[in-house]
Amino acid sequence: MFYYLAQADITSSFSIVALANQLLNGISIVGILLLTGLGLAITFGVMRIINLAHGEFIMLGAYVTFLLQSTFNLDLLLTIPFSFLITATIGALVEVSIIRRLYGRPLETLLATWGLSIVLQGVIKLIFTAQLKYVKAPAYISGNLTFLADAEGSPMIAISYYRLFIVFIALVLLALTSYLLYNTDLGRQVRAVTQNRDMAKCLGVNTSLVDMITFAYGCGLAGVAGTVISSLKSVSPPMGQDYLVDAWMTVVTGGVDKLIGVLAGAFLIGESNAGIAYLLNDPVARVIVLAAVIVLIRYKPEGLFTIQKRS
Amino acid sequence: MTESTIGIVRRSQIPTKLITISGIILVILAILPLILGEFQTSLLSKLLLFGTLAVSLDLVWGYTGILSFAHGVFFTLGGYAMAYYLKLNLSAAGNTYGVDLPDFMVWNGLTELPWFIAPLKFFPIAAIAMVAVPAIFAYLIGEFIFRSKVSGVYITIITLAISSALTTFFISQQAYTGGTNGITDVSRLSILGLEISLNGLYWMILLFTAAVLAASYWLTQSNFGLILRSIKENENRISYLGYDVASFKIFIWTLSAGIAGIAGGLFVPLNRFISPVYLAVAFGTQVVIWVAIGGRGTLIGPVIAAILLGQIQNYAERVTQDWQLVVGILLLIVVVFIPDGLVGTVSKVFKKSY
Amino acid sequence: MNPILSTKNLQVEFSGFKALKGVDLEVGEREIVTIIGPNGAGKSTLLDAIVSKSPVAAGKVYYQGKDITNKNPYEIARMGIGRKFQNPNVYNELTVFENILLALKGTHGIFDSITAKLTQTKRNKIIDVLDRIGLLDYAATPVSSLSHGQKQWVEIGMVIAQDPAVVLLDEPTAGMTPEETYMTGEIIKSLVHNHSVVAIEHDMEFVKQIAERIVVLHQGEKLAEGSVQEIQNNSKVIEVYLGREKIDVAATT
Repeated sequence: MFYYLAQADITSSFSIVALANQLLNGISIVGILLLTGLGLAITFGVMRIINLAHGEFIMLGAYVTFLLQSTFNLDLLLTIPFSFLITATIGALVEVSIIRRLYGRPLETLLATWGLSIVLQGVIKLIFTAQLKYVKAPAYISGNLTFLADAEGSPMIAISYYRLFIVFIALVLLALTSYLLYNTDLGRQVRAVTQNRDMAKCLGVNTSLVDMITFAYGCGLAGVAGTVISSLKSVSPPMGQDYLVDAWMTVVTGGVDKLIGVLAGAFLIGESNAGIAYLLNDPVARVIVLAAVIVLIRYKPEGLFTIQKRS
Repeated sequence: MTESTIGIVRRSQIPTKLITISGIILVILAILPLILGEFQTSLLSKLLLFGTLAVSLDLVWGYTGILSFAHGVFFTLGGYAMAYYLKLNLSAAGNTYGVDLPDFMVWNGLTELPWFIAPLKFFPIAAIAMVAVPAIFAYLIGEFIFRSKVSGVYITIITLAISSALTTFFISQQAYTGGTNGITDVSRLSILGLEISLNGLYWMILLFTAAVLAASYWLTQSNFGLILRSIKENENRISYLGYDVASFKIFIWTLSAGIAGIAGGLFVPLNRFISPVYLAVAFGTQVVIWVAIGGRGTLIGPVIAAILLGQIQNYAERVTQDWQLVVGILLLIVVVFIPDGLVGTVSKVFKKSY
Repeated sequence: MNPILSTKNLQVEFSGFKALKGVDLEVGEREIVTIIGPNGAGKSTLLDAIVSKSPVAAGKVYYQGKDITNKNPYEIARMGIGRKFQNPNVYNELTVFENILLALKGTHGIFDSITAKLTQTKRNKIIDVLDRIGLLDYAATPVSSLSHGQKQWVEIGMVIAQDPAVVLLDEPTAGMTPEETYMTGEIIKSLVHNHSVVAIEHDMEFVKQIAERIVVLHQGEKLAEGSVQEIQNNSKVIEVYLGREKIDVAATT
């Protein structure tokens, strides 16, 4: 799951330097979690749609970037608007054709989006084959930010600029989304629809349009996430699966009440994960994290930071 | 007695028509391997087991409303129990290294059989483990998740996490589980020194499938079945009538895991190997699809769907590599357009025109 | 008189909001207690707290002298407290007969339910209940195809079949025609021969038809308690609740 975790230097003994590196490592995971979780914070957190195809929208975003880069040699940053628009459009189509029909039946929605996830993977595999694809990060955000130097003059603490860039773009998107949701008419309508659909309808809100736009926006954010992280690792049809679990955990941990919860969730999971992976090996870390998911859902299905409501 | 109360009386009668039809189908299925070739007999045996696995999921999903992606896990746990038994009972000549230790353990540097695997050398223990391991595992999970306020989609997500976690765990424990490859090249099944032929295995499996279907039918027609359906529709209401909902859920969950485990155990002598592929969410999804397509809450539907899809897959895979895509499209279509599934829809149409 | 059911200083909270602020209620054997009060007075919450649908924050619920505060709902039901919910809370996908069968008094264990047979005695009991709620002809009908009033009766039938010592009814006549309401009133009055009844009601006509003792709730507290006569003449009650119906009530007495 946390394969994008920059390999920790296990050989170095526990020290301040190793700890600092690990914390920075955690920060870069936090950025990725935040980025991939933000779209889900909209579709699941705000709309309460169980979207198991969220990871595939991330994957689609990555493929949009791959396609534009391999055919037009486009800069990764310039592909962001395209991947947002394309994944948002696909999201809108999915909302109209599938999600809408299953409104109020979460188990059916879960099943249908699971089917959709398989279909999207299959279609992409059909078009691009299962072969791993690679995307180039922009040259001007390469290199590492370094601190301290050892006896030979090589840096002891380092984090790549690109990972810092991920954190930055994630925070920008979070701020933008918060603004849209809490300070615009559309955002007010979105919240009105999710809190009391019938009332919103009576007040003249076009609820089906709002549903479509909100879902499409969430999918578009997933697409942007896919673009930004595409250069970290290879691009492949099943790549979304791993991000799905992480994104979902981030949202659930943070709680679905407030958008800012996703930041708390990302921070908590990112840092604790870097810790676990540092102390133990990767598969064990994954099993522990999944066990933690189960325990979390069992006791706090609405998230750690959610207010108890009257049933 | 008024006319409507006659309907009540009918409910408790013995379904002679059903028994006759089932009997005829059973006889036809029993004769089949004498006509079919080895390949088809083997395929049909597997599909019957998949069908039974789907029935076990139908009991918890179709009847009780708990959607689980973890039934592949219960199946595979039963499968591993049987696989250890068959692996440990390879004749010395059949074993690559001619020692008591299975090949994958030798490769991974184990020098003696781990204590928790050693007892599986004996058939009675392996046979019990085949049911008990998945059932106890399910019981523990059930006690944990059903005695809480959590239900619906959250339970389903927990089953996804279980399947995912166990897959990773089994792959990582190479020395004990054979890792990604699983346990391969197992011996054939013999009971009391008698090697079971393919046809023998087929008949055993047919008998098992028939028994599971009959028992499930009896169970779902009883008051117990009525309570399961009530839990599915509204689990809160029934607790105010004095029913301990969690206990009912845990019972059917554990029972269904036990059935899945036996199906997995019988699968290994046919398949000749077991691997984490069957633990993974993809296989769990297959099981869900059999039930969805066949018709939730219809016992025979999942069996028919498993056999049909299996046959189609058998031919389709010769033409296309993208069977998963077909499966995904089918799942989408069934969920969005025919939620009752094949058998459910057919019986509804039949009832309307009747 | 020793009450069969009582609450002492019962309090319920929803994230800071006090829905019940310490309510004392006593229900005697074979007595009908009617609870009235404006919306949001905590009437349903009081019943919810008794059957553990809502967690009790402080105070106690006693049944036959035993403390049943925050016990499991199914245990409370088994001890002999039955509940009818505000909106008919019945099984739409099951037939009327099956709904009653589900509620029938008896063992509720897993193995009992597997081996249970539909004996003649049981069938007769169900037919008797169906007869009382006037739905005998609908025995094999799925509840989903019944009218709202009929669904209310199905749930009342479930409570009768459950045969609890204490019956809690939350607005049993909501959505009924006057004739249906009257018939429901007669069913409830017949219940009191061997059950204690606690009923929440809005319809004052109906309250007068069934009521022996009335408890008035207001903003999570008990405002008054007494006979129909006493409540109608209670100035506090008139002020907060009957005010708008004052003339109406006076005219009918």
